[in-house]
Amino acid sequence: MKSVSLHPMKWFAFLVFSILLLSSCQERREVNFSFYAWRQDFEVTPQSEALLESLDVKKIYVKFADLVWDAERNLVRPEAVVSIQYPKTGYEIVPVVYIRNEVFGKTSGVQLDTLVLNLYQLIRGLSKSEHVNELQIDCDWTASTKENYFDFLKKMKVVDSQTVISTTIRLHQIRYKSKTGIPPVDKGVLMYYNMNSVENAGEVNTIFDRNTAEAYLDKLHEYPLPLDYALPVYGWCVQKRNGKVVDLLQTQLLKDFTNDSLMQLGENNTLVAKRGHFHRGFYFQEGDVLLEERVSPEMCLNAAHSMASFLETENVHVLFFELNHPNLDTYETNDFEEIRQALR
Amino acid sequence: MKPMILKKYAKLCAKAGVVLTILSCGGGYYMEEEDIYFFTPELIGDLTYAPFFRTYHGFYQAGDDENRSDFDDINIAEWKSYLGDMVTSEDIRYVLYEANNDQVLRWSLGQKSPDEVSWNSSSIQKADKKKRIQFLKYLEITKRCNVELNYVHYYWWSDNGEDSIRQEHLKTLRQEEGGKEKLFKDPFVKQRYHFTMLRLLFELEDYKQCEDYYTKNIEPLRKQGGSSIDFRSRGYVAGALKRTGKVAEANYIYSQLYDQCPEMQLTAMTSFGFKDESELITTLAFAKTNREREVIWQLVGIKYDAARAIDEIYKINPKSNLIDVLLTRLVNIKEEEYIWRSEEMDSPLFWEWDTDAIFARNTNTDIVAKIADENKVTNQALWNLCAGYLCVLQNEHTRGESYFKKTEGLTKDATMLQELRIFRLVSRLLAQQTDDALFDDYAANEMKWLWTNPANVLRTAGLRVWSEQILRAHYSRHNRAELAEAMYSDKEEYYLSSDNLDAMIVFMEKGKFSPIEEFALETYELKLGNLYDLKGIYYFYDDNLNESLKWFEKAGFGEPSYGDPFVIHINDCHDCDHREEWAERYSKIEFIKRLIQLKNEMGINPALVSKNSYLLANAYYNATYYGNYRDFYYNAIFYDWNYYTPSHNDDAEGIYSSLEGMPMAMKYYQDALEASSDAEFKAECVFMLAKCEQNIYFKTGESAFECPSSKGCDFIAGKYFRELENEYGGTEYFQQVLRECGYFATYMN
Repeated sequence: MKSVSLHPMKWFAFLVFSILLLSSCQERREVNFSFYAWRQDFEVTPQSEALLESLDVKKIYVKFADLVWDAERNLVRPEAVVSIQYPKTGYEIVPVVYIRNEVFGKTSGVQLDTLVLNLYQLIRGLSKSEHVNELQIDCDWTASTKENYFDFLKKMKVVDSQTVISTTIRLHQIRYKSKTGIPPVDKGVLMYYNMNSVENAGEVNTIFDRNTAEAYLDKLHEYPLPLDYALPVYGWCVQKRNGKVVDLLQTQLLKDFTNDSLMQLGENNTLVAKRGHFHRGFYFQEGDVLLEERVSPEMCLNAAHSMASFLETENVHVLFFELNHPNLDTYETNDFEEIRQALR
Repeated sequence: MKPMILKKYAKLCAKAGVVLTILSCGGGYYMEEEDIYFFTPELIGDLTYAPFFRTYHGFYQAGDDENRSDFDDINIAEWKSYLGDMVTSEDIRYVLYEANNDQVLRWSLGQKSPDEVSWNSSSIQKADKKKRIQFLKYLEITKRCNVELNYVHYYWWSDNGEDSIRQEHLKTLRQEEGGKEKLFKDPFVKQRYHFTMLRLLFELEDYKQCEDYYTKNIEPLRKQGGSSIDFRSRGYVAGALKRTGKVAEANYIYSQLYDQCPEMQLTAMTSFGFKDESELITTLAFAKTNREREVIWQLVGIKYDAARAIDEIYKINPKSNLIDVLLTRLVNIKEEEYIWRSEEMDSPLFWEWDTDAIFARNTNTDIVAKIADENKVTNQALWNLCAGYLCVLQNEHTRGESYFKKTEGLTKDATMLQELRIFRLVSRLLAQQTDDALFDDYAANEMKWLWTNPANVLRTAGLRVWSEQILRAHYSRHNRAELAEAMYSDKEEYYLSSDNLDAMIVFMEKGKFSPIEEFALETYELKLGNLYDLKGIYYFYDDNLNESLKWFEKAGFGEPSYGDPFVIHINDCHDCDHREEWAERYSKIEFIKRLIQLKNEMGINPALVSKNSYLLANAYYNATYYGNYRDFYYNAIFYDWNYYTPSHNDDAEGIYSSLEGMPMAMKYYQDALEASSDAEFKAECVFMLAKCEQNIYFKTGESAFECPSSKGCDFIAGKYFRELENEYGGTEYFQQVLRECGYFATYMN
């Protein structure tokens, strides 16, 4: 029988390689990606399908509706209910419902039961035959609405105990958890964006600013809920008048206005209205300033590095906000892979 | 001390973004949202456009999209004029809005039944027979259609497919009821029949057909021009045009409805709007007269840009009656920018505003001065008044005054002249730099007037608060701190300093006041008695009981305490102590006298040191946040203290540290402990010291707010728990504490 022998140097190289391989396997956490889809008409376009496939995305978090308080009728009603085209190939659709905080200022006790049942029916109705594994509730609750909001979440779980209930968690809710409380749900998703008042747009990027973000997270490890993390890949235009924000053009970028002959270039990459005019469905008074804030691939990578420094879990699930945003055109698949590497 | 003006107020404005209701911290009254404006739009006289006056919600009556019943009365009146005077409005209302389809069908067929009292006795029987038959025939069709047309989508989700069923019903109705116009000879009823068909097509979402139907039947539909059905048909066709991409034509119709049909003014305004300039230009091209163009511009002005619209309307017709409402909106919007600019209000002092920076931002108010100068508008006085006021808001007071002078010469209207007086006051308050007696007298006179005489319609509530704050800032700047405080109180902050308290007492005791001082003191909610009372409180916490008594006697307040301030328990419970019928209750004077007596007694008789020190300690304990005598420190100045919760606020100043700290209570418990040899009594003293220690921990340690009891860090097992355990484990009191005090039981476990 022929014996197999290796040169000692080869043995050594093999050993080093094996150790490296093993250690990298042990240290690297699994990073899964999903996307939010926030538009009222949801479908997976061929362009987004290519991105989703390349990133091995399995889940899309689709906003199904906003729940608002109707002061005239004194009730909660859904608004902007999604018109959904279910993708033919298997993405799991996770319904997200945005509830205005005001709703929980006005709704309590048995009214919450009605709210829960209505919402349950709405979700089931819109989901058609699709199975709902998870339902996400997005609400910027405060200390004063905490009680009703948490009651609502508990009741939602009672009605639908099989479904994982998750909620969005904002940075201030991590920092001031003793005041705002911990929502009684299966897990949370930390929104790692929108960390400054949009009034400060122009002085700081209000969508993501690493210093601001990290100042909030010193107590992240104490947060008792399992967390997913949401990263921004979007941008918007802020319309200012006499220094004050008058509108937020959420799905627009500055390039959408550069061909507007009634705009001229202002300081610091802004556009200024030469005179009052309509454009793309918006109105600009003379002197109004339009400035863009967007998260470039480099910024998103920076956010991922920042977040990675706080991560303690083996695996991490990251949601990007949002699919179909025009700003996503500036991202390559490779940018997302770098983000994945940063989080490992 | 931090000078704070408007702090709570400003934060509300700054954080809320939209000010709904503002709580004034000075006068203790609520300001309504319109109080943030000083300029009164009602001055234009014509209130046709009052719904479009500026408020923080945008409009006086915004968001009213539920107009289903707006036309009921008009509809009834129109049917009455058709059917004749012998028919009552009540009977028409019943038939139109309450009777069901079956009833109408039976009546139409001439069937009567005994239970149809409403029909048998209806005055509609008295109408002309032909008209009555036409009416019932029309109702038969329309009520059938209305079942689907008036359907309101209230449910969240239904598996029953209501929407598609409704669409099928609408289609059937269209097939079955369409083409019946020949049944109606009278133009009045024929128009209404066509209107029902138009609505069916709209609700079927067949907008092209809806548009075509209107064009085809425009003659019968518009025959009764100016009737409600004419307007409503145009509303539907505008909706259809908008949905088929004919936005300019739709906007033109909306502008017409806005101008001609008051009931549709708001909905038309809401629907009116453009994607780009070309749509606006095309809409203007539809306009046939200057008036129509002015209306389009007025809508642009109300929804988007008052200054631009003023300019455009003025170019078309300087005498237009559509321009004044835009002026009022422009002025109110500028007030939002200048008067209550939230970031500046967070700044401690008004005069430190970077006014140049604020005023430099202005770009589009010059149009008002230009128009006032050209002397072409109808309401010349109003334009001069506003031009002057806008100058004032831009810190151009001399120029402002020149417009005010012109205004005086142009009007005799008393309300407008009062508004002028208000604007002059605003101007003077903003411009005044030096400290002089002439200004003081002027301010005193105007402030007194502002509090008593202006016409009700004028907006003075917000102005009163604002002007007091400006004056407070003025007098602070000129080191007249007491007058500043009396003008607009920041009392909690101010009276944390006992020097301020003494200075204010001297100020208020001086007896002779200038008119501005008189005004300030009249509106100041604190009187000398409140200040004497506070002196008494301060001396008490300094353990200077004789001085304390002197000031309390001067204040003369005699309310008894709710509980007995000399009683203490293992567990603090104010309400329990307050409920005790046997409790001896003390006024502040009696309380201090008793303390003095206790001190005197033990000075004479050392045997009483332990017992009396213990009582003194109880008294000091109870007169803190933790004890049963919070009312001792609760007064007109520190009202909130009654509800004050210990926090992690490290910079607690002055009396706050007395309320949260335990120095006097601990001193006397310690004295009592040292002077006694009775183990049971000593155990009590040690436990009370442990309570004091715990209260300090609430304030300074990682308290229960941050740390749940499950983690065991909501209390401290400090020096005195150990002492109780080690030294007094054999006492009965130890056992009692073990039973009653959870913290101690946890510690022992």
